[in-house]
Amino acid sequence: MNHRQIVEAKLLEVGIKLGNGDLEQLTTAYAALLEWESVVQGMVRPETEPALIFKAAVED
Amino acid sequence: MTRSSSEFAYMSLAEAADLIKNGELSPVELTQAMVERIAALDSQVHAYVTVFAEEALAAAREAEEQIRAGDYRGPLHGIPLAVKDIYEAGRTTGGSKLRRDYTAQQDCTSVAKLKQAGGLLLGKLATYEFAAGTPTLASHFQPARNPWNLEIDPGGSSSGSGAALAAGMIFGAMGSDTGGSIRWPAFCCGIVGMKATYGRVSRTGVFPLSWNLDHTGPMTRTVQDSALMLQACAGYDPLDPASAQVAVPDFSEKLGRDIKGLRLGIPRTLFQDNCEKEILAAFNAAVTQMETLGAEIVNVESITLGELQATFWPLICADAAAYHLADMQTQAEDYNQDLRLILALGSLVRGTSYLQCQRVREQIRTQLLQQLETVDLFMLPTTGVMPAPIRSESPGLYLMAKDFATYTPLFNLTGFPALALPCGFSSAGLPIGFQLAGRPFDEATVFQVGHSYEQSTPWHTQHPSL
Repeated sequence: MNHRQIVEAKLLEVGIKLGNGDLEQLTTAYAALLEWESVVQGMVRPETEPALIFKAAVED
Repeated sequence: MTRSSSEFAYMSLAEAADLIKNGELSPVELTQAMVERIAALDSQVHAYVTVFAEEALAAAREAEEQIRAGDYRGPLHGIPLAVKDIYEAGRTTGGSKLRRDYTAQQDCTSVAKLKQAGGLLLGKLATYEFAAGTPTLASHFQPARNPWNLEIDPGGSSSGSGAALAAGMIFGAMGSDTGGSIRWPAFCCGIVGMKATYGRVSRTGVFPLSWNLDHTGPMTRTVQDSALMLQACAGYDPLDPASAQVAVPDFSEKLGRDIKGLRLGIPRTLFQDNCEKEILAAFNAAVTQMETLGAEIVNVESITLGELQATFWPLICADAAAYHLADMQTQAEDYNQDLRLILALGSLVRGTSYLQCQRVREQIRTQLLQQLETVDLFMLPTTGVMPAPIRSESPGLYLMAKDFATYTPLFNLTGFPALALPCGFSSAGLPIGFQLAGRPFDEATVFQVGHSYEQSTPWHTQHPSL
């Protein structure tokens, strides 16, 4: 599926219907969303795994 | 406009409070002056959505009697105030066609607290739709204008709050800040905006945008006024799940103390290469002024603008999408296009991605908390871009563009208190400002440093010609 199809499918899944103009802008924005995902993935450090944060807090 | 309304327009809240306390100024006279000024100017500025003139004047008469009888409640007693139109109190539209006829059944906690302190609710102020998006001439509600140039956006989303203060049409206002919505209009309008620590000020009865990024706080013309307003609205509220059970100190306690030896951390990596030259020059001059006042300047490590945007935007969009999902399913066309796109984009954020953003958010917070062991405050420009002319049509998702450099979300992610205040003007005559952020719940030190800078510079004494 291309980005436009993915956007349409995901919106349909949550019951949102939009016009063509909106979908075009969202398709461009979806590419930015994927880029952000990759940036954030590169920033994640293992010690922030939520269970470890909880453990550290308990041990404090 | 009467002579008195112009005379009172740019008086500080603290000055008006002193006169009222001493019986030299009547709350009724003051409120009447504001009503007249709004009537004369708001057809140009569009800061107010609703004006409660009769109710405010009745409350002013009551305040006058109370003060005369010796029941003086403090510096807000008899002072006209206003709140962003997402605070529930009377007609509350959220700046949206979807809530255009909605009237609140009771006052939200912040308004109740301001009234309890003697404040007079004069009206409801314009907001970007539901505190997000970008208003245009095609929006359901007229966008507020920047009093420094009526063609220019006053910033937002607390746009009416910034515009009303800069136009001398109110003494103090409440805004909300999920990614900078108090500090961005403070920058654009040349006023002071305090995003208090997450949990410091109740959000009960304030339309949500993001449950875990929303903050509330005061907007004023001076730092002292900001401390006075925060004093009245801060405190634990059991109705707000995020409200913090912490002591409320005297926020004015450190005003007037010198700042010699305080260490200000500058996270240059965040803004050095993406900030407009005029803003950077004004900021650097403010840094020099801080040094002159005795502060020690320290460069601190920071994430990049790209990393900040990548962490922040998925969180705010997904949170907003969750809150607005039901309306998006049934009446998406009633939203302005720009907000509709934000909400739709939020629906595309994957759960795994959202969680990774929260993890990175925690990393960022931990890093900054560690830095606050060696510096007292962070100092940085509020934003790196000057406000644009008000548009005739939706600009789409331009706020999320890589080159839309805004540094405010850093302190929504961390929850630290952050104060925006003016530090100069652009060549086009528009205000420029910077922000100071401090340790959680240490608003008093933030006010101390902001006040010291403000009182050593002329920016807060300059006002637009209207």
